[in-house]
Amino acid sequence: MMLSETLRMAGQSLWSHKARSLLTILGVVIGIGSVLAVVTLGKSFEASIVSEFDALDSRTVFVTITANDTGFQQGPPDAGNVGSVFTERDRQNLLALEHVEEAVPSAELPIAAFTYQGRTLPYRSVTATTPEADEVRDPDAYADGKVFVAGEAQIVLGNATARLIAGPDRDLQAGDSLILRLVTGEEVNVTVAGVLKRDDTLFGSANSIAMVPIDPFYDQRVASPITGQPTLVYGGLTLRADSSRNVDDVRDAVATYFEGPSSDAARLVPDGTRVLVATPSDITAAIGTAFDQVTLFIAAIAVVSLVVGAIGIANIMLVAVVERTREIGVMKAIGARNRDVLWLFLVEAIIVGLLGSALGLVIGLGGGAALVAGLFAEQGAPFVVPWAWLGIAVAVGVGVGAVAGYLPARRATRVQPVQALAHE
Amino acid sequence: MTGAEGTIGRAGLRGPLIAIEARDLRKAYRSGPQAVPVLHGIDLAVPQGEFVSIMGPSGSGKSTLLHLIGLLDEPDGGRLRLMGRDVAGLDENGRAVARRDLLGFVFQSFHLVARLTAQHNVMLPMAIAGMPLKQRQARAARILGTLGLDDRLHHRPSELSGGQKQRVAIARALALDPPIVLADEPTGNLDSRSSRDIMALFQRLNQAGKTVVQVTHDLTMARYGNRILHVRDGVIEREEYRQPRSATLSAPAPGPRRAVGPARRSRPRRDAP
Repeated sequence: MMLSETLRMAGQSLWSHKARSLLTILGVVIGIGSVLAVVTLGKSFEASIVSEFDALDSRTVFVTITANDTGFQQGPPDAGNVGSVFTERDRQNLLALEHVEEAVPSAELPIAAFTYQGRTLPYRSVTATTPEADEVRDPDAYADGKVFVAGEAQIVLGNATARLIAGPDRDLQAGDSLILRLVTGEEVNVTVAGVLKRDDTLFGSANSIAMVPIDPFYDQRVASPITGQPTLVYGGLTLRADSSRNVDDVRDAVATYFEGPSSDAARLVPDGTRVLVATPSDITAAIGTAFDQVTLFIAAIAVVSLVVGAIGIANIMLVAVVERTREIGVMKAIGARNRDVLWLFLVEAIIVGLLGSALGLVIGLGGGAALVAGLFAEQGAPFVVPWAWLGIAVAVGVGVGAVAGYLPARRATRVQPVQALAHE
Repeated sequence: MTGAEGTIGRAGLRGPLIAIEARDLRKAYRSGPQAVPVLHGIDLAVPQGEFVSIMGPSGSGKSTLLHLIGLLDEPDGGRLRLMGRDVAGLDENGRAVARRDLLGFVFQSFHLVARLTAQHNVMLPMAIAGMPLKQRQARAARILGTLGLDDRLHHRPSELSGGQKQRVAIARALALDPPIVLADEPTGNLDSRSSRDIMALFQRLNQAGKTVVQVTHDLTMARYGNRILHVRDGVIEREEYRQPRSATLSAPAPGPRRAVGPARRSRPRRDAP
């Protein structure tokens, strides 16, 4: 039979049972809609996280420690609380590599408390680094003041940290003086060099910064396993390539260096950990992978409702076959082949799946947008349309219709004309 | 092919073709573990252009015989040829195609598709055969017009009288211009006036060259045919040839009058050589 007529008859049959068709379609709408809403939410959330890393200088190469068994694909690296292993000697060697422009060291410096105008705030640690560190080097990032000067007793504070130290109803500004009490009990006067602007991105990680220059604050040293000479040792290094074109080459060269015989860090890393060298795009890719897994998992739960929708289609088509037994008999009597009958019912089921997925698409995207707006409004998380999933949704809707409709349609073809025509 | 034995003269003019030829056609129905024989070896030859009425009491097997001829059911044994084609060995698809090309069905309870208009009901077989939409619409309208239903094209079956429904069903049976029209108690649900109209219509078709076979238990209706088969207990008990009764039409012309049936006009390809 011609497709146009098959479509017409299937459409008419659906139209003649409007309420029933609508409810069946609704089953698919809920299935497709919930899957899409979850995926949209996941993709939007992922995009907002990835955008944090995209904001980083694309010339950057991170050097940190990671645990062996937490593979990189499971998420962003975490230098964590494993001790410092990257020596000044390593840093100098890395700076000597081709295309390496900078190698910014950073290390956690445990402290006991800040005191500002007689008010003491217990505090765990500050980060010791150089003025070239990404977090502090951009003059536009400051609400007040500027980056610290190496060799001076100065500090750069994130917006939230500054407010914490200042206490209620007070402000902290560049030039203000703080007392920093070290874990040894020793007290050091530091001047606030700058306070950063509020960080409104998803994690707001810049808000909780407290950064000081390595000199004069940080002086942890180890004997280099290679030379035996004492050398400063840091928790991590952030390298900058001379151009973003060379960043992958730099990453590979740095990774090779840490595998080689002249690296201190290679010998200092504790058992069960390793040196991790990664670019921002490595990290965003890893985040994408991690998020896809989580999103898929949640979407898989939502798929259950899609299965329920499919059962709805199968159920209603089985009823339709019984109801229209006589019509099937007539169709066969006037020359319809089995495949004509099969298609008639299959197309009807597919139309239900298609309409359901089209409507589910709208509702899923709308629901996803509402969830994104509701859950991440403050972070301004972007609403991401998961284009690939839209195609998948329609394909799945059609597929669900076809699969759910197939058995009932097959049953329709088995109808014997004589019995069917006698059927009332 | 056997000769046209036992035919009336008119069929001879249409050549030796036998529209329906059954040899030792047998059918039994399963009832639990037992097979209940319904037809015990039917031999039948219907030359092209006959109007045959099959009569018999309930359970005689007359409907089963029509179903077998109509390829709606499979015989347990015997041979069956339609328009010279061996159709006994056809698979399901082959039977469907043969039904489409050779047969038109008219049923007691009309069996129109309730959701579709008269015109679309008539278009249905054409759609199955793959005819383009414009052609289907025009042809269905023309056939319905010939049957006096010009003003009922867009009515659904529920909006039609019994006689009108049956005429729509006949139009549908004629949709693909089949050489054979089979009717199962076509007037069973109609009043006597509509019944006469329908019988007159069948005679008209018959005169246009269609081979018509109807099953009926009403002798009045049976007499519109030129040959009556009396079936009892699964065999043809006796048959009679007669001058068909005709209330509205004169006696059959000695030759095929073409272009009376609605279908012939546009599709002359099945004309006898």
